[in-house]
Amino acid sequence: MLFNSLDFAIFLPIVFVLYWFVTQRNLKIQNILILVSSYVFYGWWDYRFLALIVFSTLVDYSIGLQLAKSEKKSKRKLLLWTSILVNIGFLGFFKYYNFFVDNFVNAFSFFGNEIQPNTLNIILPVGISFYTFQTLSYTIDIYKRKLKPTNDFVAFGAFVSFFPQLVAGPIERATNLLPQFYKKRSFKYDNAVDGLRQILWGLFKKIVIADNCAYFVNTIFDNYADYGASTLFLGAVFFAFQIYGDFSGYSDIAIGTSRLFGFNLKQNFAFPYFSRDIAEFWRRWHISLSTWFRDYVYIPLGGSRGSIWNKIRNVFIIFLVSGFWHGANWTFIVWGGLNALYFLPLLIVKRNRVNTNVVAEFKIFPNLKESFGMLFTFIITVIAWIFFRADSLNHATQYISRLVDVSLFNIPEIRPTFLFVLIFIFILIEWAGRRQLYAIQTLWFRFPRIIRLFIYYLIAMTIFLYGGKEQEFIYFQF
Amino acid sequence: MKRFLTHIVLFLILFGISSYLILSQADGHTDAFYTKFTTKKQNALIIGSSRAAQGIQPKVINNLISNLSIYNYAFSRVHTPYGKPYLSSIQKKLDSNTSNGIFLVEVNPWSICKQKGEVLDLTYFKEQDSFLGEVENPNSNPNLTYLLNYYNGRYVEILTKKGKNHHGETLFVHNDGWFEVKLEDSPERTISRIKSTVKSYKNIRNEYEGKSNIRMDFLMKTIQFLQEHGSVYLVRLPINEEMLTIENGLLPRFDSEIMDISRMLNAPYINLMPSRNNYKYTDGHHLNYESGQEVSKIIAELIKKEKL
Repeated sequence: MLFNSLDFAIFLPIVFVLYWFVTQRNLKIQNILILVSSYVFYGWWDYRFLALIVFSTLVDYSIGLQLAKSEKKSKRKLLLWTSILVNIGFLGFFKYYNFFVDNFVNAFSFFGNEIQPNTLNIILPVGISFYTFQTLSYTIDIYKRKLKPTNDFVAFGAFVSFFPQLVAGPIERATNLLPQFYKKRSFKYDNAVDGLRQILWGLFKKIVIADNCAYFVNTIFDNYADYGASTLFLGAVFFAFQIYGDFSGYSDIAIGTSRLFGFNLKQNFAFPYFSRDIAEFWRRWHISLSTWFRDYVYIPLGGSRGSIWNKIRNVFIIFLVSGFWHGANWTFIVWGGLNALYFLPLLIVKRNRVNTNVVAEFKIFPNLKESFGMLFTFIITVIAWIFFRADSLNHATQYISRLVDVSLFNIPEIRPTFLFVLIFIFILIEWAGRRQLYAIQTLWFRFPRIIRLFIYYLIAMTIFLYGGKEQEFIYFQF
Repeated sequence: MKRFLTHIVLFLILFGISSYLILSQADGHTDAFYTKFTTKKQNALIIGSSRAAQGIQPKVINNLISNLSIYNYAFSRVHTPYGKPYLSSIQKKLDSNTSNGIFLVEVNPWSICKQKGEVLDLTYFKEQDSFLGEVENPNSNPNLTYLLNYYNGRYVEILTKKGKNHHGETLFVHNDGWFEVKLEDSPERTISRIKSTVKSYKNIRNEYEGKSNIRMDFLMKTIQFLQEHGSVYLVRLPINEEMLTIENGLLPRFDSEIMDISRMLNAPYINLMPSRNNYKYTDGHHLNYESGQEVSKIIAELIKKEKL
């Protein structure tokens, strides 16, 4: 079920009413409602893959309990690796099987040995990369004794499959989300309104910004040979806005929906395009995934301790794995590698934690240095996004090679004025609201209520007027 | 909670009313089909593909035949090949009390052929998944089912697309259902458009398998249904030479098959293909504005003669 669909517009109020009016007296029943609703939400796409979530839930629930009972190191290790193998095994099979087979075949062909590929027609279960990481973090945290396992299967099942963030995150940690299923939730007007406001902003990002950019991005990327360099650059810039609007929009809707039900999820995007360097960008982009890799891959590898070569190795591993997590294609791996290359100089000169505050925190405008930093970071990010969007490495390199041309300074052949205006307004609002959890959280609170409502009404009408055809969220494929 | 729900409901009502007001501004500029689903039930119809939608001008025919108000309910090759969905939509569009209507049934090979790999049986037609099969009421204004589910543009365009497009061209569906495509073209642009259409139809030709007995059956059922309400004329509109070659490749015996149906069902066949070189086309198979006028006039004269 898509957040931007009529199905969800009907589903959400029904669950909301059942949640607050029918089941609110009994926490257990309320959690059962969340679990069932989450399975309905997921099964709406393809009910057959529910079995995967249920199985993954059962495995990690049981392993969690076993880990708590066991003190023997070897047994604990065995339990941990069972969980890792089951979860990564599913992920590996559904997401990466064909990729490995194809590359294996290509490698052999390169040495002159022709072998017949045995690829399968595998459907990638929506959200598998997200809920797999979520359940894995639960087991790892118990193994590391950072978390006590739960005896409440319903709460655990609801934690794994919580519908607002099931298919595209944020990837929640059990330490944050699971305890919220143990406590009685009470309806708070301010929280619910805040949730709705965040949903509204998420829909704006997705439907107005991302979907409208998508149309031009597809046209330009699919016919890149027909356009000059300036149009190709514009296409890459549009993709930067598309992916930000799409993914952070999804996160906003997920977080806002959770707030309607009394849950608090972690912020997943913190205005990444206002970053002054690439390290700051990665602290602000897809925070739940970056911190997951930091805590469960980077730090166990030694993190930024040890020799310079260890640091370089660790940075490359984390970025390459992160790239590969996004998809079974070399384009994602190169995208990860490129970001590692961007990041390394900052790490080597120990300037990767310079910009930890909000840009121009107490000012209206950034200074020259900050502006240059943001512009530079944005441009190198845009270049990296080309790999992310391209269908193949060849497509990406062709696209980039055509960018290096004097026509870069020509007026682009494609000039959608309405989209330029929308993006400009969007940037202004995001800039004005950059100190908050999402741009419009308290942005217009100094205005009288009626004016504020009118602004929200204008945003809603813009979504209605500028909404293109319903588009799937990009991150569903990961 | 009560306060929250009250505010939500009020906000949604305001949003709903505003959206409805915007949607109700949709008209013939909105897209090539919308208006056809917003007019009242009709007593006389032109049915067929986009060739008929653009090429047959009801006002010309209505001016020449007294007491006639024929409506253009033709769509496109993709949406309205002959089949159950189109017949059912025609049944909904036609006033069931009609007894002496006039019906122009435009025929061409594409509308009775099957595409390769197309699942086609008496229970399933691919076009039933389009607006043609899904719009239950083709006589409602505004038609929310169409606008919410099948309108492809952004709703802001309902408000902004009210005149000629940025090429200075008119694309407008009139209240009589005629889709006016008036292009401000140089001969070079026309030649290039014809080239590109012919090229794309050569590819489309490869997607087609050949004649479908089911579609033929439904063509006959459609004729028979319309004959219960008046006189039916089968019309083959002219196209240029290259397009005809492609069509002949697809269905070489097309004319004789239609002649057979014409004789069997006693529905006159107006075949304008022999005079194809007398007309001009925007892209090789759609008549331009002036040629459409001329063809409509000829059809009206022939009907008048037939009626006498």
